[in-house]
Amino acid sequence: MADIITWLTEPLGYAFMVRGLTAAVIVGVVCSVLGTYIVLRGMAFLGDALAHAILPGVAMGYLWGGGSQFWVSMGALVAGIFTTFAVGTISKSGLKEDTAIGVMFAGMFALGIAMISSVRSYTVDLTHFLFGNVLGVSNSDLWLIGIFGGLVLLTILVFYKEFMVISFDPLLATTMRLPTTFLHYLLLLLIAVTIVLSLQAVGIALMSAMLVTPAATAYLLTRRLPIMMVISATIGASSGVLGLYLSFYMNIASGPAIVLVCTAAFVLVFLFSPSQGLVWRLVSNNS
Amino acid sequence: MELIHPMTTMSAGSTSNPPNIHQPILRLDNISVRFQQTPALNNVSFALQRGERVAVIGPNGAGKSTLFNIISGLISPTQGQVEMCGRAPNKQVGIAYVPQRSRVDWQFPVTVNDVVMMGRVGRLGLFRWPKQKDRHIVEEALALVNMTDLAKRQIGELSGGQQQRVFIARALAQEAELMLMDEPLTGLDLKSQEGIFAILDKLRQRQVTIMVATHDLNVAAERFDRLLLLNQQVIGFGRAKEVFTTSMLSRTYQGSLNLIETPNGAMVMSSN
Repeated sequence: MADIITWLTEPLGYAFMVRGLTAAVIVGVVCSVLGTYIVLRGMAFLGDALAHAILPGVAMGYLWGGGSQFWVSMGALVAGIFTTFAVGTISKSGLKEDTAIGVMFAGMFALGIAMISSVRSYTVDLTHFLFGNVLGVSNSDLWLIGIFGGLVLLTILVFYKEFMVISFDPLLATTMRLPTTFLHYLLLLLIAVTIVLSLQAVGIALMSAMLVTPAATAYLLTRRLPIMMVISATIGASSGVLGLYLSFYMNIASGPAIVLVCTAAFVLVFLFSPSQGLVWRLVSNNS
Repeated sequence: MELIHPMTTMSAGSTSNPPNIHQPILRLDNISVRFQQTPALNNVSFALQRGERVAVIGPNGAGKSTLFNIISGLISPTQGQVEMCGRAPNKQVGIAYVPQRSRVDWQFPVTVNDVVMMGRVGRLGLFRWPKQKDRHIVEEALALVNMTDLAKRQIGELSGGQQQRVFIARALAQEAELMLMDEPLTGLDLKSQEGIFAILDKLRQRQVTIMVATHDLNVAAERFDRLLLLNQQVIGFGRAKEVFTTSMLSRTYQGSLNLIETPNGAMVMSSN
């Protein structure tokens, strides 16, 4: 028993671990709650693409601010918003939205890599941007994550019923004269902000796992939107905590550790969920 | 316990041009729509009276969906005007769209009650949560379509007829004066169809105007006040006796329909 308590409390003796855990929990909750809309609306590709497309903004912010996380975040946000509007504009030409996303995603990501490769001192930090480094979170970063995270959750709460309508039945939204374009872009803005605040925790390459996997897991467990959000947030937050402990004791990079715990939760639920688990379905088919 | 009638909730401030109940609830004036040079609707004009039940009939590609999209404001006509109660449609004039069942994501994590409450979102406006009045309207709407007992069910757990009734309840919660229904009977057994018509009869008492797109010519002839034959333009608009003539039907369906002349009139064999 004492061993378990030591196992749990030892990492808490390190300030960087406490900050990392706090950040991981906030990021886990925000990504997972917003992720329910991403999963229900089939926007997983957009989420992944937007995460990659912020790279040039990250690089610019890094150069401009001399490495400060604030400027990196601002640069990322500007790149995210730019990409969102560019995708919207290209889609209006008649091309399908996923094609527009594909074009912008690759172009922006290439621009980011090109910018980083041209400055030699970037090379060390590139892996941090790509895969995250939640243990490097400072107190001021934590404030940034907390404030942005709170704003995202507050916005989801305020526009809960409108987001539900545009996700379930866009036609109804139009006939009720809801501001559909505004709501659509607001949701995209929330995704961009969430990606930016999650940048340090999971990094660009693994972002879509946080945006999609907990919500997808919750979708297998419930058919009620508020409950889906709660389950998703719980999975996201606990994956953050468990992932960091694994990272601490097994010496795995923190971002992949968090994502692997998320994925493991998904696989378990996919196989064993009471209503839809693959295993139960196979068993009942054979009997 | 009466569902609050749309008329009573009309904004009291608009005294300058009050809605006139003697005016047609809906009037289309010379509507044309083109999608990249291809005409979808051509000079469509007609007017509906309050409380009327009208079937829109035509082959696939005749522009039935386009017509509904125009009326509900989803797309703008290339030419012509839509008027409701003599005015341009706005938020105060309730138009509700009951989608085809095949267009709905039945796995979406919402209950029957959630879906009907969505009908209140437009009237509530931003930054407002449903109040007692809204919950009351939702309960009334569910009671009218006999779905009260299933209010807590996820929508995918319902039968086809029940699913259709949920969306009618949602239209009621919108306090719609005009209800557009796209193929509401497709895939329903006769008993479920009877259930839907029983509800539509109740709506008639409330002066709700109903427009239904359907492929079923027999149902259209028996159950609707007037029929609108559509194939990019209005071929005919009137009672079944007036418009179900050999010439009008063959102009509407242009060969995709077999007509058999009988002593009692034309018999129709739809190939749809």
